[in-house]
Amino acid sequence: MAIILRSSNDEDFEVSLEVANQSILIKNLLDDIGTTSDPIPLPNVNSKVLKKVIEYCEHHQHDPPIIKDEYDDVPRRSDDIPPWDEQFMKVDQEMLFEILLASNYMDIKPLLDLGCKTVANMIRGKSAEEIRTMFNIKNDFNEEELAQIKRENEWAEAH
Amino acid sequence: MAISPSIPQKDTSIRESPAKVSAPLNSPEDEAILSKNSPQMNTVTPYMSQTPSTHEAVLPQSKTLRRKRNYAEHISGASPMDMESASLGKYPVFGGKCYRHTAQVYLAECSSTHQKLQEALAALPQSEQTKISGIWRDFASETAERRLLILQGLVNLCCIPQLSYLNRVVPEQLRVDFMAAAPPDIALKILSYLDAKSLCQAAQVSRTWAALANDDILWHRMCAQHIDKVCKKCGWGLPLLDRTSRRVYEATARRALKLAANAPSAYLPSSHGIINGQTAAVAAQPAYSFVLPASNVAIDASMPMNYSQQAVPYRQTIPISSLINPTDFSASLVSSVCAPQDSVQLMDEMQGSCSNASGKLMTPQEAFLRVRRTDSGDSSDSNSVGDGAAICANADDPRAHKHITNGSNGRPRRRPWKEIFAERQIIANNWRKFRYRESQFQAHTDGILCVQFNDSYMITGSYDSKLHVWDSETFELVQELTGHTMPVRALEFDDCKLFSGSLDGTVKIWNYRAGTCIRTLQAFDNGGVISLHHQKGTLVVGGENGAIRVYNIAKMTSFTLTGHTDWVNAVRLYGENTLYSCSDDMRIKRWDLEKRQCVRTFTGHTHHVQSLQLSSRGPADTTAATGNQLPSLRRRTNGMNDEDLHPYMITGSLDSTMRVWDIETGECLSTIFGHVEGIWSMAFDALRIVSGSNDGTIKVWDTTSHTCLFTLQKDSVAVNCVALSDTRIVVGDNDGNVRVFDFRNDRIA
Repeated sequence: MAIILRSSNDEDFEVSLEVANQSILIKNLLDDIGTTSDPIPLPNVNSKVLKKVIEYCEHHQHDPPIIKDEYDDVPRRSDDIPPWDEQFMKVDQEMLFEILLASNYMDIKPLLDLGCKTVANMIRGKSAEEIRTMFNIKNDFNEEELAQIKRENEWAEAH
Repeated sequence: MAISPSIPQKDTSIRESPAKVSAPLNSPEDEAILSKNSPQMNTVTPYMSQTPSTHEAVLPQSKTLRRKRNYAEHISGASPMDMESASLGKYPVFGGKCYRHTAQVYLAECSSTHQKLQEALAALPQSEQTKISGIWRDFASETAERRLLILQGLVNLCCIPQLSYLNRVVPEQLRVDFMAAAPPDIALKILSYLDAKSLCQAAQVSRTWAALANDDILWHRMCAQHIDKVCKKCGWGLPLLDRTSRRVYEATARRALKLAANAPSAYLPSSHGIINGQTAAVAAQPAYSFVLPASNVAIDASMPMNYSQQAVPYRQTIPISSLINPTDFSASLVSSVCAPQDSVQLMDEMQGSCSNASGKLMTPQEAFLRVRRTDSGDSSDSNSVGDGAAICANADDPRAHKHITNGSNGRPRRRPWKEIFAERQIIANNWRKFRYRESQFQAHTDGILCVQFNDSYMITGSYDSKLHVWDSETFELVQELTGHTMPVRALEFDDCKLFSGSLDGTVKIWNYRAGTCIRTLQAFDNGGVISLHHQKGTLVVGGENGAIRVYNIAKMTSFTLTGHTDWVNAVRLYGENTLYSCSDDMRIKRWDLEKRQCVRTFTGHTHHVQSLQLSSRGPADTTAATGNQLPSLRRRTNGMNDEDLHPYMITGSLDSTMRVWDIETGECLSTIFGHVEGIWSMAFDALRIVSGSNDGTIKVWDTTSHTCLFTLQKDSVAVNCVALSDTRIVVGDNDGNVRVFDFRNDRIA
């Protein structure tokens, strides 16, 4: 049974039920109203992003479901991204951001995790200045605050 | 309409003054065009007080949409801020929202660019100004699709220099400040993958980043992963440092007692209520009490408050009995079990209830750390029993968890988790880099045989038959305890009492703060006491004759275990009914205290086994405590702690090795080589093992990998005893010297 997803700019995408069900948003919706041949509108996802999200879901449609909970004291790793996923995430920051928002909205946890890990990997090991450059962020601390925040964080540098 | 050259740039002034809506670009006509041309935004009109979610309008029946915090909420403008964003509806958006024209930081940037463009424009003739601003305005009013079309045309018209300009400027503008742009839960999720160092850099990026990267939830997680354990991701572990300093609690005690002296009666109802509340908890525990038979009631009266006797000169006048009635069995039970911290809390609570402000007594952090300390089990127990035992009594107590759950209405003075993490990281760095300050002093005129310390006191026992009580910070002699007639070979203290075992065959129980002996037990008639261990009302004494005597302190009954054929050098209780012992006969034995027999013998050492320590206090703690714990804590104690899952034992021997044993199977998991002479003493915690040898070397090892981290040697005097805490190593040598290696930062500088 094919499901039709309609993007914000009214483009329709036909996907299999398995693919659609990876979005918990759509899965719950289909559970509630039953499978439908009417297009399911996703007014917050444009076609460019939706296409990308569907690509991910199609590639991962046979993945076993994730059952493990996230415990507080089990460290979250981000060095375990499979090669396909890593390649999939080689997109510009705008797209990465859009994927984050779309996966959050559509409730596709593995994709949201992947997006967050990707961003985390961009941040990791960089100095504050490097982070600013990477994301084009303006340093909005005044000098006094800067000195204080440096003091507050210098313990992490000392070895 | 007056011709006023203006750029259809987002003007931040809209935020401040809605009156400016009448500016050319926000004129009603523009709005009209906008709503016609931007179908996806047509439910979002500027300044509309209520903006229905597009999604909910389409699919009202879906529970998910209401249940989920969804994307639609972010764009449809539930918050005032988003309402303002909605006024930017004229900007075509991807996915519903233009990040560049909503994020505060970029608004400012766009606005400053806008200024510059205005100035450049003003330099042109009037007709040109009108024309150019007209182009911009037309572009601004178009939908996303049409803007794209216009741009395609423009790019097609561009010469190389203009394309080069785009190439330079656009990539920078395309970058996204994820922390500022993403919803906070996603931003925090991203940060949750980072290590401490990266988080600290992230905190220095901008105000938005700082607010997120300093988030307490993130740092709580960091603490949970690292404190008193080795993180599986980074291999780092941090010390607990959970102890209340003596100064703090004595000051509190003084205050409480002063209050009590002023108005003792006022406390009675509430204090009794609390005490009984605690009693229920404690009574449920297996007889962990220090209540002696009626003839010894004096102990009950003096023990609970004895810590204050030194601190409070006017103690004679204080009606302690009005605080805790010694005839009330429950009250005395609680107070004698409770360590000073608990007593202080008790007092705190009394104070609190007196002023009608009784909140939680422990900050969630204290509770968390205390619970972790229990998990770490025996490691704390052997060296800083004061804390170990106190916290054992405390953490088993549902009260501790009650405080966590009451956290929301608690005291405001909770430290940020980041600060807690930082404090520990500094000490961990010192350990790793082997930075410490060494102090040495002559503690006895003859060799030191046993030492134990906590944050307040250090107690040494010596060949000279004396015990010395020291201030563990200043190393001033607080008390000299005399009474034993032979060398003092074993000692163990908590915040109330001290047990000492001597070659004279006795165990003495002391009020070490006051310097008085409370009771003497004649453990053996045919030989001295070599070792002892106390846990939850059970006292075990190992003898020179190879026998082990087990006392139930509450009932004052005892029985003897025989099996070893030579000195019993260490005894260690595990849970309710299990005991481990090691002996000069080269064997380690596991005993069932219910059956009163040896159930397993561990062989492998080829010389006297001098020291023995367990990684866990016992299985009972973890299962018994879980019922009252928060889910996160329950998980930790149930399954996340390897030491609880696979408790192990480390023994040190005069054969110069240490052995790691699986305590259940008796299998020797590992043999630790390195010392060239016999090991007299060994202590470990979750992070490191310290061993002292006959040749005067002290080695520090990694508890997980068993690799030697560093070796300390000054002279070749045999090291008789070692003790370890999160921040210090204390060793006693055969010449009567105590050496302290302190890894705290303020001591090193």
